[in-house]
Amino acid sequence: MTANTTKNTNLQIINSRKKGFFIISLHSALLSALVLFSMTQTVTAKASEASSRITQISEKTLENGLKVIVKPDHRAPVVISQVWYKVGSSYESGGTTGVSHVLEHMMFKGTEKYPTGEFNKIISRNGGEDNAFTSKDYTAYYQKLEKSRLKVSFEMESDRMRGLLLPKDEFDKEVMVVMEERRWRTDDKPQSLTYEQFYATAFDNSGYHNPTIGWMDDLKNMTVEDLNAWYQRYYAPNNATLVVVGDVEPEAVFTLAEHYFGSLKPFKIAKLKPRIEREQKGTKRIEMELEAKLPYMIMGYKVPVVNTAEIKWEPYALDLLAEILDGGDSARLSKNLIKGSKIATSAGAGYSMDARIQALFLLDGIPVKGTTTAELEATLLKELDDVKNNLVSEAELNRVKAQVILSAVYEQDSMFYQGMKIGIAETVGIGWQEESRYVEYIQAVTAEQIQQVAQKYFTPQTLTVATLKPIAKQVKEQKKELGQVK
Amino acid sequence: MKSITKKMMKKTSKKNIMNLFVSALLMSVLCVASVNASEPTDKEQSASHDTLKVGKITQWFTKNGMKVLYQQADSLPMIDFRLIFDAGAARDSSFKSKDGMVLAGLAKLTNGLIFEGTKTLTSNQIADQFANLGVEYGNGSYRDMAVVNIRTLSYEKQRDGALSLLTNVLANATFPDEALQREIPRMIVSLDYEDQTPSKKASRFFYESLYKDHPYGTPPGGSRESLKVIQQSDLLAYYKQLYVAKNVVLAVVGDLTETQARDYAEKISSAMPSGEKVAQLPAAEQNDHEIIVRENHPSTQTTVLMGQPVLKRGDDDLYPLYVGNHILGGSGFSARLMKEVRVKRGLTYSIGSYLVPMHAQGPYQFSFTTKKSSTEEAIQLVEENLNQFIENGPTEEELKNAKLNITGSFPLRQASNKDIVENLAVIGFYELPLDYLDQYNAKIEAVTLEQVKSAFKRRVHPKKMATIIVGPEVEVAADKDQTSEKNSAQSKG
Repeated sequence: MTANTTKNTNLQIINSRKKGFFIISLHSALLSALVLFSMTQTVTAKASEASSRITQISEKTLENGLKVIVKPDHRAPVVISQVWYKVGSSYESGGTTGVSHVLEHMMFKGTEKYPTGEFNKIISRNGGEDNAFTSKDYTAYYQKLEKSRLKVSFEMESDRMRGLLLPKDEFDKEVMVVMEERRWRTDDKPQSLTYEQFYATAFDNSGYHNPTIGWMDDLKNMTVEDLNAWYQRYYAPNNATLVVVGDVEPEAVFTLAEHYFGSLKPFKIAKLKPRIEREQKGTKRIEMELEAKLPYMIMGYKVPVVNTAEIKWEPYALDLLAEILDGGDSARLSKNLIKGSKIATSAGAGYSMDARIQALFLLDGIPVKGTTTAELEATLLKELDDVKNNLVSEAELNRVKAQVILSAVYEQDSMFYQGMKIGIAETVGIGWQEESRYVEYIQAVTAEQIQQVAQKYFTPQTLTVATLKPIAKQVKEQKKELGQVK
Repeated sequence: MKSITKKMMKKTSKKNIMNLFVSALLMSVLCVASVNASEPTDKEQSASHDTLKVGKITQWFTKNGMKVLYQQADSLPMIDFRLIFDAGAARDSSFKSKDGMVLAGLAKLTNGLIFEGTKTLTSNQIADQFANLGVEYGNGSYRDMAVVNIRTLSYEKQRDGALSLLTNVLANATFPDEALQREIPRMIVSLDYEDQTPSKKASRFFYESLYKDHPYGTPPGGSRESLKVIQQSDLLAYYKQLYVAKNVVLAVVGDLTETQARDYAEKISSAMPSGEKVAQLPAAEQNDHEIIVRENHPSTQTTVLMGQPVLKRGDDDLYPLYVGNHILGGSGFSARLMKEVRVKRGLTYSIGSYLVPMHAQGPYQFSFTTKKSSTEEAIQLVEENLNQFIENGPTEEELKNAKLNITGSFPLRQASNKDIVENLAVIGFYELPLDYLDQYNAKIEAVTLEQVKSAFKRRVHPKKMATIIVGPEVEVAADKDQTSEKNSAQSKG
């Protein structure tokens, strides 16, 4: 057992900005006499007060480099444990795309101590739920258990962090399962297939070119050696974060983590090459012709994220802008495109500020019948022009801020999501402390800043557009009732 | 931190009649196994609140007859109000056009348009006011239930504002024709979306085949024909008859006292006329023969659904059937079907079976997807496993492990206010005893091997199931005993 050196910080999140909140509220309140507006101010102030009732996070890094983060939530006798690895599909190269995700599947296929199938079986007998997930930037494993059984999770997670066997016969079957998953998830869903091709078009040399599930041909040619190389390269305590949320005390969790994970040996993790996307020199367009019933379009602009931003406030302005466009029924796309001009059956905007590298600000939608995807695109561009040309009103800005801040309070209802936020922030490099200042940064965004990011980033030079054009089916589509046998 | 995941969470609570669409913006995370979501009416609790830090469930009726269930949970400064009307798609069949056509889709339209305007407020004003108050609001329409819910901060100003807006909506909804003329085409687009999505297409055929003229056979999303004839006056009639105090259950969970909850409940119920509780649904009988539906679809995989109506709420066989199904196909990687079809053979990503207890007999459903060439093999495997299970039942060890999982996981099912309000909704709506959760683990523990075997033998009849096969053209080979009837069926088809 290694003696632990600790870097034990005990920080309170969100609460620290309570004062700032009120200052901003008062200041803005002077600018407007609107009743609705002052209600909004009360909401943000209350949201801040609400946040202060919760959330203390503790962290400690074990000597082998494993970072352990604990967020107590004593509402129910339940604990969620998540192990996050810094690896995902954006780390992968051509020829072996999908390897992070296939490895995630194989992590359930046994170690010497717990042979194939044992992991699920033991968690199940302990009344637990477990699963794992892979994205472009991370691979994570979790268990949800009654609180006294946290050690069951730690024992098995530490065991498979270094002790995976990767039996070939299991791999041969599991890669078939992943190919079925790809068919189900992407190949047979026209919008998903369009989305995949859209990303591959928007990004050339960046790791975001690859789909997380992997190209089918790469899956077909994947070998157990590919997986082993990937496992040996990234599955180490010093490349992982252990996040625990629930009815637990931080010190007890640190002791337990030390007991189970402390003896794992760290190793040098090869530095990931930056693969910074080359500069885009004009709009890229693709059209997918698929056997489908509905047209669809998706477009995206290259934008910075928290992790890459040179100007710190920009991602927060983009985040609010996404909310202004698509933050529910009171947001612009719903009001203007679905209810107002009735040009879209559905329309959305999205932006993941917590991506690891340069990402996209997305807009997508399905036009109503009789309208083309080109017309929908033009209408979406007009919405962006409006943001470029006109300042967002204080009332709208404050309403959207209130919504964003309130959902940060409501999110506390999900322990899993609390863990997700910490895990993602740590894994992509933002850090949970910075993540916890989200509300503060959002609160500080001005209408001018929203206009500035729109003008700066929504330019044709970095735009990619993909449309799905439904084509007639080759086979005659007729439902056959195969009779009724008495 | 804003992320796609958060967006995904918000989307689910957002009021949106178009809940068929999953925007591509949301797809970014892959899991080792899919979570097989079931309808909210399907919720099977496995929980007890004796170790939880929340109050006891209290139930009462308001002056004009609305049932209320309340549970205090004051760790977070918020309150959930959820109204569950007995006004799901199963009620559509009582509403017909002049020509006698069932107005399929009426329940969904009425529910979906409830926030679209009142006598004093426009749709945008309602949306803005909720947003300004920081209230999340939503709705949902299923076969049994129509749901309206809000989540608000528990501070007096917010909760009072939220409640007064909600009561205004409940009392004065106008279902503007302009909104209806916008939503009907969107519902038709949803039907197109169903048509390009194999699982949705299969599900539609599944319910049609199981329930035929029974109210559960009515497609909640309507049909192209019914959507053409539905009028504003139909929505108003539906609302007037079914959105009434005696036909709804209110679940209240959060940071408020019982006195406050009683006060708010009175305000909510007095926004509605007392009205009448709608009549019970007729029983859903099983078919007396096997049905096979084969649909070509331009996909690489085949989607298969099999099943029949089996279980209603309050049924004596509920616990043995639930435990048995847990072992056969209801417990993810621990289940036999997952082991046989996925783990041993790699034929599917996701396979499972689900019992859906509803007002009338809900479906017992088996589902999976597999590539074209393994369709036949996978169907046979499911049939063999089901037949074997009915014949021999589970082993002692399987039964023991299932009980360990179900009883051991009960705290997990009540770990959030959202979980608690869903539990209350089901208990209130299906008239389960208030100690349902307290008794749950004891009932599970009491299930014996013989009970499971007996219940499956008496209640599950593979030869009378419907099998829906949607996918690329598949040759169904004529060999195995179990499929001989199907093959003869196919040759007739």
